[in-house]
Amino acid sequence: MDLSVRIGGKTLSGPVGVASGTFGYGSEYEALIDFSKISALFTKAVTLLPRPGNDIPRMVETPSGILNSIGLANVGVERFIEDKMPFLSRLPCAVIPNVAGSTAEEYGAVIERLEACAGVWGYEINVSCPNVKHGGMAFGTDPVLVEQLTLYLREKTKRPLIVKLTPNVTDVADIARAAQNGGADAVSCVNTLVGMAIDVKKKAFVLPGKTGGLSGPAIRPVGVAMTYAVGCAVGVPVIGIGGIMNADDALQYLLAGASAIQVGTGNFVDPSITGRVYAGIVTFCEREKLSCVQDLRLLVR
Amino acid sequence: MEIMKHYSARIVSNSLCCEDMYEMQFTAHGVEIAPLPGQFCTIRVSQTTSPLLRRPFAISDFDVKTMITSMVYKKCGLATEILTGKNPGDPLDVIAPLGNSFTGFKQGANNILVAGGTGFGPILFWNKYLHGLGEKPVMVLGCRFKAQLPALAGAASPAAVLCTDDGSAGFKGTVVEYLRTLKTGLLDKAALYCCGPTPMLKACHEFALEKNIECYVSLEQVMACGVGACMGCAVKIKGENPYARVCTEGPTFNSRTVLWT
Repeated sequence: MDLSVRIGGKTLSGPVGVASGTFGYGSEYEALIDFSKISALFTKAVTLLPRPGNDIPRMVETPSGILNSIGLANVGVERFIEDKMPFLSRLPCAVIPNVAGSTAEEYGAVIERLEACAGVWGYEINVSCPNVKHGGMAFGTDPVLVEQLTLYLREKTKRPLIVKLTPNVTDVADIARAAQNGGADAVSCVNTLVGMAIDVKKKAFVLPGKTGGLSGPAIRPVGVAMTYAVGCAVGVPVIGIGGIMNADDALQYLLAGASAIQVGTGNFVDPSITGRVYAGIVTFCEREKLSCVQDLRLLVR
Repeated sequence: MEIMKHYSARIVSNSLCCEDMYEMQFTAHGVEIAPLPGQFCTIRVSQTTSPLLRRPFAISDFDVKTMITSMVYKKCGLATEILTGKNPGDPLDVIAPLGNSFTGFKQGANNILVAGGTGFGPILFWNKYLHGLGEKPVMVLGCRFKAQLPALAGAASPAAVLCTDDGSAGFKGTVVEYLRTLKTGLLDKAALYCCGPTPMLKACHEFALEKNIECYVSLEQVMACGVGACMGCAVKIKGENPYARVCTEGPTFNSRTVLWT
């Protein structure tokens, strides 16, 4: 069975990844999981300088989901290289830093710095974080900015460049096309949806920033629909994300046109989830007598 | 540090120990763990997506001989309500042990352990542990009224001082009001270890500052991963990085490092 995924001239060993922001820098889960079932580890967002993150509380559970406002809390690119890359480089999976910034130059500077790291497989460009005032989603909701930023970053690297899309737009396919036009090798679809929770008893916003990003099974139908729309609009591979809790959920994305998937919130619920998702995809493909996981998308009616 | 493990435990008992508070005991079902006082576990209470996240619970006892882990929880929402319906023999999805145990312990010091509300569990465990080391800690347990005192082994020990807001049992007043009645000698080289509601922890911290003694607190925060990956369970601390993760840098903190608001 060929489980591989081709992205920008490189190959991932399989279709199951873990989503940025839900898996730290990998080492946090070392004692709990079998990394051989993960083909790609999308790291916690990396910015040029360390960021402390947003005010607390930072998360609240909502029906079948989580609303979070972490605010790209991260150690910054220098400590990422020094402290986090040695562990990450030893893993059997592809290590894909999620790159974030407030300006195009900051994204560029992070990539320039990471280009020197042999263990980096490619980059996921975060133009979709809903919890920061500058950069993030402010880029990702404007197709012109997405194309310009992707073009600018394309010149900095030959490694695979994956643009992570925000669902908080009228037409996600427009943004995906812009990323493709800018030279992206793939798109991740999707980041969190803007949401709000209010404590009625206290008559107050639960999160200090009022809104947060909604993830988990609550957003899965949105993610699947957007993956389908994006898959119809672009020729580059689509990586489906949103509320995957088991193999069937992952198969929905693959049937909708995704070439690979990322498990996010599901890691919090069950750290061994990726192993089960991986095994379930293999079993399904065998039952369908497919020789290649990429043929799944041809099956949907 | 003891390595965290994800395992299917078996529930041994799950019983009401006072108003809305339950004690659950479970075996690691062949998996070897050795949690320490102050550490916690996370439990997935349901295989459905509601509630979705695992819930963190402080470990209230670990019996080395039987390998039985205990935790005390308060019925206060959907997840804990589901937990109350679990029976002996039921499987339980557990990750443990997590976080840091109580630290800063000095042999022969006057260790004063203070608990309130749902904070009884880790304090009783710490008390038992210190006794095992030959120490004689003072345990101060606070609740609003007598019926809130959990019927737990250790809580009824003669060495435990009970404080109730309404005077229905023991000392009438808060735990800090009780601490103020202690003779100065008992506070010499003392260390406070506290677990309970934030206002109680803050009052203990302020008392410790005033008396110039060490104070360690166990903090709570809404948690998603429980292993340090998501940065969700941040609390404010003093220092270059203004936040610390309860699950990884905590849940036990030196109270002087916490930014109290």
